[in-house]
Amino acid sequence: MPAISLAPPARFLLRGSVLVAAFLTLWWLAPINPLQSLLLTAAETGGALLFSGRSKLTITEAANGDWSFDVPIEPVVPPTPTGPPSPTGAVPQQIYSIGFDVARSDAGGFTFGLPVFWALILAAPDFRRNWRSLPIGTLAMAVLEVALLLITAKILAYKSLAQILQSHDPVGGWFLRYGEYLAVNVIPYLLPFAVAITLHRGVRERIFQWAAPLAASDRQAPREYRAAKRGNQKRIAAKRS
Amino acid sequence: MEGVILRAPGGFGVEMRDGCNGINVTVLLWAAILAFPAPWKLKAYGLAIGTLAIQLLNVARFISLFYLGQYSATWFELAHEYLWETLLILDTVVVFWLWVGRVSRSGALRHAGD
Repeated sequence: MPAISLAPPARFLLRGSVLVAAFLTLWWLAPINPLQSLLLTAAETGGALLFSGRSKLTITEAANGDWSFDVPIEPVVPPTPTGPPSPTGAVPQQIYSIGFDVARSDAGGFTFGLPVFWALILAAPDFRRNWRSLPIGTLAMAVLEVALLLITAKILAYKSLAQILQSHDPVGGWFLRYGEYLAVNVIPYLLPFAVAITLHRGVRERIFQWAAPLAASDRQAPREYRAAKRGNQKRIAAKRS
Repeated sequence: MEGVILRAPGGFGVEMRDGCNGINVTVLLWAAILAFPAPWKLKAYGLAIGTLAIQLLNVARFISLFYLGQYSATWFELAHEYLWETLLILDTVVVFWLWVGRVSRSGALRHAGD
């Protein structure tokens, strides 16, 4: 049976699709997701460094898979007519943290990037020459996903605060909604592709084909320059003689 | 079919909402093609063929989710939230790669500084 030779893009698509499906199935079936546990621990550690205040960032996973956040922000909440009556009268209240839940389907977006990244790197051409992109990219993905989770926690905390304060600021509200959309629905999906294309030279040069001729011409330039110079010197010597 | 809902006799249905129609990755592809240094004729070709490729795959996605949802809600969630989203982006990257190859073969590839 003759071997079927596929063009590099078709091979990348087929291998990538199979590996993405296989890795995501493994990620989905894992009873205790080690990526999730690592991410939550790293986020709480990073949160302790980034968020200052009396309370600290805590993220816990409920039995149904939803994530419960407790984010330290310390606004002063003015009294509202709908608030509980206070014996001391209507006075502003200092709060120290805001808690909210994130649905499992949204929370999963912060851990599924790593299996997708591994699938893309393994599916890419010339893995042997570009194997370093796997460990470096894994580290980069881990750092970026923790940062993304912390940013999302902050956005969602301010969104909850705006609801508590019954804010009617249209510009601020738009930015919070847009930030949440990017952090939950866009960046987690694009991140593994961006990191893979950035780190894997073979994929980058093949997809953006202008990089290869430019890099080649850069390498050849000093040699061509020396050759041209030699040619000039020969012509000058011939004229003199 | 009930408007934008595809419903099975058993009651399960999938609805094609904004965001399920592949428009997000189509916009991504358009941005990449329009930003790439290539002649306008080839850009128009890439926009048309690329949009068609993404929409065809999205129809396949929609139909597969319809059948998968009747089989298992858990596998539907995996396919809907993660697998098909990733495959659509992968398809978009490969469509862009093929288009750049076409531009390169036509001899019309310009470098960014040109």
